[in-house]
Amino acid sequence: MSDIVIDVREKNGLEMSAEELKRLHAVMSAPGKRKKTAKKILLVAVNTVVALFILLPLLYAVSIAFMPSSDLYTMSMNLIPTHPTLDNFREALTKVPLVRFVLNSFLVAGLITFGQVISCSLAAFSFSFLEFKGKNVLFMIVMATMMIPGEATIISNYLTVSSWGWLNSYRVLIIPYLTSAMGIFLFRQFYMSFPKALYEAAMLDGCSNLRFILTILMPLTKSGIGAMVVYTFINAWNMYMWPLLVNGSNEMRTVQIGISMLNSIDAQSITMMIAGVVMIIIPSISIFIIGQKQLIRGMFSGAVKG
Amino acid sequence: MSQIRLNHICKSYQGTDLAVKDFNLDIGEKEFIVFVGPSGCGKSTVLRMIAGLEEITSGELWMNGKLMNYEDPGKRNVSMVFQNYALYPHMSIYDNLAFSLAIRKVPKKEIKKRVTETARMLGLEQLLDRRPAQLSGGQKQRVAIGSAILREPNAFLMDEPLSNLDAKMRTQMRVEIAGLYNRLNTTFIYVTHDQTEAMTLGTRIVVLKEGVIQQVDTPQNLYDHPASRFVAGFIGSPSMNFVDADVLSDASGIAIESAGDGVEASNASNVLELKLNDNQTAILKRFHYEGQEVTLGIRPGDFILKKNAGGQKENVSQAFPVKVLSSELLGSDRLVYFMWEGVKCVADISADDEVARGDVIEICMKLDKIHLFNKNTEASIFAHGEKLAQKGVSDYEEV
Repeated sequence: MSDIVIDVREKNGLEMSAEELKRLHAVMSAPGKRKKTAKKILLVAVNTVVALFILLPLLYAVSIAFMPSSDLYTMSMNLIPTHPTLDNFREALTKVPLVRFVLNSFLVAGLITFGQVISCSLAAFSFSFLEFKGKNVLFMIVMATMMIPGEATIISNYLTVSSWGWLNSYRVLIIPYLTSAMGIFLFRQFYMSFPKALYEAAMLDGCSNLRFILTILMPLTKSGIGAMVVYTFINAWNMYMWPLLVNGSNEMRTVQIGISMLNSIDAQSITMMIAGVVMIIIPSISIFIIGQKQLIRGMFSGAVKG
Repeated sequence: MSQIRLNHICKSYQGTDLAVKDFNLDIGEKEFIVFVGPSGCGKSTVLRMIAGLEEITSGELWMNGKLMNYEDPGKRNVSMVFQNYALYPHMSIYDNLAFSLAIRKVPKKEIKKRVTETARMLGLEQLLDRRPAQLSGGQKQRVAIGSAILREPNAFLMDEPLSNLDAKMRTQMRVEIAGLYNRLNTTFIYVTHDQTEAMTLGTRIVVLKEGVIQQVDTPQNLYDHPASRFVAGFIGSPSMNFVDADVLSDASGIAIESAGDGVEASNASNVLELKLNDNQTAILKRFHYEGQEVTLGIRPGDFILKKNAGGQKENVSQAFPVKVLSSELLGSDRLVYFMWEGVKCVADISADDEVARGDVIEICMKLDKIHLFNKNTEASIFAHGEKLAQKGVSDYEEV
């Protein structure tokens, strides 16, 4: 091969035929191509190993969910069920009202997400588009609330809602979470990079603020809303401490609390518990998979201009 | 239809210095007013205050006899074209054009009729289904102008609408805007830093500097009779040359020391004396400039080569020699740079006169075209004098 290269090189580039040029191109680019392929293979291999390592507990849990108890309690290492069964799922569903819990969680997480998108986008709009006295101070106060851990306020919050007689209801799960400083911040970052001339043009067109938000701002910041939806929904779905504290009755339990009911002292079945857990992580995982592009784009697109 | 009056308008941002100071202007019906000035002079701020996008710190804004200071932008019935087009990127061109009408609850049929009409007028018919991102800069700006027209506003406000376009497109759009003005017959208020746009488009030009009006006049008057040294230097390209001069003790002329310019002066005293006409002398006398220092301003085009001066009917000064630093051929014209009185000057002569670098040329000035400026106030002595004379003021105190 190398003698071809030398052969061709001796000629002036202009004298080469198209055929020769093509051959030269192939020969010259071969090492580079090989290097690129090798790099890619290495990258995929490393990624696969790391992904497997990270996902192992999750995959193992899925596998256990299909195992009869006898498969789990053996001396040999059983990574894959030898006698796959759906009994664990059936048992988990009959033992506790899991469907009700899932519906509760969907309702709560859905309403919290909806409420946060509305309230945070409105607040962020006024922080980025409107001019009023004390705007910056107010924004700083809102941001400062992010520094207070939820645990610090949980007792006073509990006392407040219990004195209102709100315990054991949906509203106690939803209303305290209808806005968040994080959401306001996220939206504001988005709106800061929004061209101000569009707002001014809309004002001159006679557009009201609300109409501007609905017909122009929101459609143009869809990716931000997507990020916000995924982030808020997963957070609300995974809420534990607050629902545990304020709700005692079976009907109001969210799935994260309900699942622990499977872990009763009298009848402990690890395979059944795991089957329950596997069922309830499906919604949050699928939401993440559907919205991951939005989430990642959303988290960073506000941060850097361009 | 529209009469806009700005009365002692001031603007300050958060208590700092005034960005616009005591701005007074009456804009009549169907005028094409151009605000021009260097960047940061407050021209856009004034426009945005008229539009209602900026609050007016003090002063009054009247439109058709109504006080507009506290009216919402949407209620002022003005439309604005922005520098960066400000089209809604997620809407089709049709929806962009129709947006303001839809907000005003104009019936759909009527909207359709008006949008198609305007699109035809601006040559946008083929683009109505497209999104703004699929359009070129010129097309985008045409859409922006289109949506401004559709509303049939009392006044069009344009904030440097052409500055994002390339040079060729800019010229073309400039002509289109001029055509539009003739067709629509509405008040236009146009902000630009480009004096060519200002000169070609405006019926009246407002020259601003540091938030203060320097002069309001027609393009021709602004060019021929600038009120101050700033206006004289700002309007006209290449800009006016300024050199120091002394008024003779009998005010019959001015003297310029032309020593030290790399050329042996032709007359022994090294002093170039220019004889002024009677009118100019009278003004100088009336305001007691005899023997005082002034600044002489002369436009590049008002220099003339000595060999061409013979046929001129105009009053031409005596010639003086200068050494050419460089010579630029611009097609029909030739710009000749030279040092004079320690200042780099430029003369705009005919391309036929071949002048090369290092040549010594004999050059004259058209005496009727010279401007004299007060050294302290920088006000134009002749322009001011004539203005006062018109008003019947005969005293000199005001200069």
